[in-house]
Amino acid sequence: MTEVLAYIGCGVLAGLFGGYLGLGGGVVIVPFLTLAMGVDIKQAVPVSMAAIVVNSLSASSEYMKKGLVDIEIMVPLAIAMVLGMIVGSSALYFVPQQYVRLLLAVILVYSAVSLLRGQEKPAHHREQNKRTRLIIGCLLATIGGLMGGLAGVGGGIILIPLMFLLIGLPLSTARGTSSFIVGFSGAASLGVYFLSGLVNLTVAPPVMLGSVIGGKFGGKLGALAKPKIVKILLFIVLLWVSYKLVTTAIREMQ
Amino acid sequence: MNAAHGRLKTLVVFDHWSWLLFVAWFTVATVLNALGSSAGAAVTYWGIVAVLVDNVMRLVLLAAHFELEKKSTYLGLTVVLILAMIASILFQLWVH
Repeated sequence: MTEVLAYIGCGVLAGLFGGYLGLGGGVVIVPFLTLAMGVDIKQAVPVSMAAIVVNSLSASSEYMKKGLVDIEIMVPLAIAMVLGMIVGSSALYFVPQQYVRLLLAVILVYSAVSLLRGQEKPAHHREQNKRTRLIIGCLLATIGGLMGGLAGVGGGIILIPLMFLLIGLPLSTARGTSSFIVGFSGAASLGVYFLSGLVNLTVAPPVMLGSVIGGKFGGKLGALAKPKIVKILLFIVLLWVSYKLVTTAIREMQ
Repeated sequence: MNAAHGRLKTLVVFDHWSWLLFVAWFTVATVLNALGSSAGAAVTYWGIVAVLVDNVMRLVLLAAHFELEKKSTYLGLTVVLILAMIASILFQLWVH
């Protein structure tokens, strides 16, 4: 019983955190399941993916209610991301992943610093060269998806800085749009794990239950959040993921 | 315009009801698993199928919104996204 409550608690925490920031929540779930609960990483990742998808359903709906999802930017970026992930996962056996992890870590550190220093752009600025910036954004989302697929990093962490810094969306809209996209890219991965029989059907329900509840409240809070707090939290998450990428790459090189 | 926005409202309402459904669904699955019932795995299995179908339904509602707004490019892109998701699953299954 205690174990079940711990899984639900993990899901709620991940849902709150992921929904608030517009990420999936895998940053919380995978370390918790592997380090605190002793779940094997091969089982933790599919469970995390299932939780990310239901978290996205809950959180993105809250952002959408407040008009914080840009659906016209979301659709092309989601296509670019999914296509990049297809290429990335198929190139797993041909590309040395440790170098991709190091490169992605450098990009994420740069994004973290730029995000922290970046200012919201006025509406008229967003309209200038909108199409060109969207095309460049799609190209970068494809590369981001490709690198994410190779390095095992989710889409939100790449998409939010991209939408805020390059496309010029307000941070709240970038997070709302990202929370929508991670659901679609996550569903594609979940479908694979599910059809391969890799989702642990005992661990998944309490984590998904927690995540679906936490995502709702995370989305509600996230839609009202102050940009400064969000920027600091995203900065910390981006640095944390970069650190994990570097340590994993160094371990693989040894 | 109003009809198009109405379609987005349909998506929000759809999300609300599916949220309630999933809370109920995974509560039942969690309780059944905790009680040691073998039905828990089956409930979870169909719950995940429902989650995947829900994602496709959201895209269909989005496509309907674009159709009503007469934004044929975005309608086409939404269809491409649905196909890309299906292609991604099939491709990864084939690769792995």
